Amino acid sequence: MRPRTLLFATALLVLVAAPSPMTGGVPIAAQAQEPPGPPADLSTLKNFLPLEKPANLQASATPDLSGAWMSAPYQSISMADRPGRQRGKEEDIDYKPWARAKTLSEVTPTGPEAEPHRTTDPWTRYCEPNGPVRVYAQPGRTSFVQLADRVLILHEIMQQFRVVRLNGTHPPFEELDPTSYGDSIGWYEDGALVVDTIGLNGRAWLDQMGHPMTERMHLIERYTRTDEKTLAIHRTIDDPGAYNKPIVHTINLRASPVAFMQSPWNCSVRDNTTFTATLLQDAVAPAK
Amino acid sequence: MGKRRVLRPRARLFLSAGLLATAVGALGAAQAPSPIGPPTDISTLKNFLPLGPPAGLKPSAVPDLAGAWVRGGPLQSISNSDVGAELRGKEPDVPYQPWALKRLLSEVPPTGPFAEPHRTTDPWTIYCEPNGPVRVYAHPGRTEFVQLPDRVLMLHEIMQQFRIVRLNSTHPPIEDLDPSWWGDSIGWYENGDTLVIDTIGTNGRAWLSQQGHPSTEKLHLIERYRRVDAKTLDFDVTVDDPGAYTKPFSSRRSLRLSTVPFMQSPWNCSVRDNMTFIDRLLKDAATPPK
Repeated sequence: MRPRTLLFATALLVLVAAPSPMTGGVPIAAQAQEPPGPPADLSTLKNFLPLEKPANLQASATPDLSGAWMSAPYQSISMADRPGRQRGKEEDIDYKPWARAKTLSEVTPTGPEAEPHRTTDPWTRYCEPNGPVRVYAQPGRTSFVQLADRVLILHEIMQQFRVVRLNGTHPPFEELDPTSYGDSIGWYEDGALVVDTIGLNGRAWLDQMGHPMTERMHLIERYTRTDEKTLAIHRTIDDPGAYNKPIVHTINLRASPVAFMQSPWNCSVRDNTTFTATLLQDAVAPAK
Repeated sequence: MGKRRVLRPRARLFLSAGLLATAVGALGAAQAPSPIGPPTDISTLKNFLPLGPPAGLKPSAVPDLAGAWVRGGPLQSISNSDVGAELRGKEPDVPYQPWALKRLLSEVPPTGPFAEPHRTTDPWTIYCEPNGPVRVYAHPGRTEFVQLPDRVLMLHEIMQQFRIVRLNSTHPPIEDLDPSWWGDSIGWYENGDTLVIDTIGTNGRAWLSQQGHPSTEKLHLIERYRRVDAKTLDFDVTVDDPGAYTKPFSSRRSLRLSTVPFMQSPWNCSVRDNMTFIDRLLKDAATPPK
């Protein structure tokens, strides 16, 4: 260890061990705890829902998902609290304690408690991918390319795509290298496209409110074209690492008259940093 | 909307200070020139090459571009005569404008003979900004072509990003385009064996290579993909950027068919992870303990 590091480590130990008159004897480190994280060994947790298509699946017509589908931005993954006013207290989200603490520790970029100039949002700060749940919380279009053996889901947000292997199976969970969008298989059922995803890396938020996920997340999406201009997405978020039971959430995308990819949205950390430093901070601290 | 903007006191102070600094520092300014860059009004520059398919283009069979394609080996430079980037800035086949040469030499590359990864200025390494349609092949990620009747989708494992190439179409007027990292691409098939892609509307932010070759919003890119055999895809790109180079130049490379399935290893860059890597590992490596 370098001398400077040793000195720092010693100072830190002294600071942590010694009581302080300012804190009434409670070490400072104990008062500024990081929120606890998910259980150390996620691999032992079982998902609640089966990881494959139903046995005896009936043949289904292939729905027409063509078009440029525009998200209607939303704040929260909670159906009971879409605007995000009950963050951490939603009646339809059964948090594990660490996941509630983690949610409440995050500083949101939008919504009732937003502080965009100091948000902890990995999308806003670092342009990290939104992942398959939160991508629809952003105002971008999505297009589906339906091929014989797979469906490509193309997002204007970050100009990123997903590949959904039709009538395939997931590799064994332990062989998956966790990624932002995971491994997706799919099938057609009762006129809907069903997409089943595992292998997510747990880094993206589920929504604008900072709801976390873990690598154990199992996502099931049902895309149903309810009419010519509406595509309903019913999501079941099944993450035993973070929640005691699955969360269900439905959104409606609408057919956009604007052509797909007329306005791609590539996030830039450089541009976001400039925006925060030169505009948002002025707005937050108005001149005296 | 429509209200006249009122400068806040802090902004007024800043502006005053700026004007004062400009007036007092005129001599200083001459000694510290403003950053180099392309001509102010690049909209007046003419592109060198026609935008679109040749007149009288004959119908062509559609070549089979199926497969997961990956670079044949490390691609350091855009130059054909200096593949290893040893001559950076002195390549005989890269016709720089003076500002573009200075800009190149001011950049710190992340790889190659002049690499300093711990202090690189590379927007991909530092900020995970998109590579754009030329440099994406400098990385060891796979690319797949999805050939549809009216368009070709190019899917890149790097950043899990896609391009859309509209077949037998035309570009919007360049002044109507909102510049983006990947630009606006049209394409057509030629001679039964080649996909040609014509791109404008890039934003000039991505490097053309690992060495920092710049581009501008005036870039006009022509790519030709030809499958020469079952396992080889030749890729010939013509860089036509009158904002940065005095004439068009070409770069040739080959992609090989990968035995690893497409998307088995997507590569999503993370600024957070890169910063940690640079802070904890590269800096230690660059400055070994005494």
